[in-house]
Amino acid sequence: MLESLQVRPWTVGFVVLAAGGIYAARRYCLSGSAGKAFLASCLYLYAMMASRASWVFPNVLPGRESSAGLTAAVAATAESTLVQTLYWWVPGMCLALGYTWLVYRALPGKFLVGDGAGH
Amino acid sequence: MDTLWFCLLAAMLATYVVFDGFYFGVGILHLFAARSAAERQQVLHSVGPVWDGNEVWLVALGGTMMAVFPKLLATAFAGFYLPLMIVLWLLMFRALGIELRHQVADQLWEQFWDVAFAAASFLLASSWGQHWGTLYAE
Repeated sequence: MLESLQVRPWTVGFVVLAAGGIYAARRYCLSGSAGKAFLASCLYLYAMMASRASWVFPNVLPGRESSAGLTAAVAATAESTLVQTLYWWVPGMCLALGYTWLVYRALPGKFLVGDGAGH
Repeated sequence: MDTLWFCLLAAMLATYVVFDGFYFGVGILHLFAARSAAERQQVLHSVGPVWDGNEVWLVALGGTMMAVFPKLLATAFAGFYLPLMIVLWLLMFRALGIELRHQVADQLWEQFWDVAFAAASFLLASSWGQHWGTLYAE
């Protein structure tokens, strides 16, 4: 981790973002802004994941000895496959994000006791 | 390209954590926050329409990892076979807890699946933390 910080010191910014997300989530929660509190908690989670990913990179599976670890370059498949995968990944993600947006948009803001059936 | 895909996979993992994270919380807390059967029904209604789609992010992550980092997937699954099988069973129990609960109108049946849902959510959240912590411990 320290080696990664020396090579990429800007990744400390992710920690600052994560701390900001926690602070904002608590502030918005206390003020009753549930939606903003949720977005702030999302920021915290994304920043935490980004910080850990940036500190681990280029290892994707660190080993006890540095020579035994798996790096992104070694674990990756052929360059042509990476490019072709991107061609179907982008529209796939657009569909997934669009579906997610539609489903959450269709949800009511709050659920009352006695609402609906099934689940 | 491998750096780009590393970043995209990290973003997909974070997106899964965000979307399924609230489902974890609902499962863990619904036994304590909801005191009556009607309140538990209300809690389950809040995740009922979206839990399927949230878990698809995990499936998409695994599929994309198989396409772009096959050696990573093979090594991780080979080395963590038992823990990952436990995670899969806990995922199934979570799904069963929310889907089978209303199939039989019996108090014992509902209580069993309520406890199963809560226990599976708690164990799954702690399992993910243990696995990722073990993989990336320094």
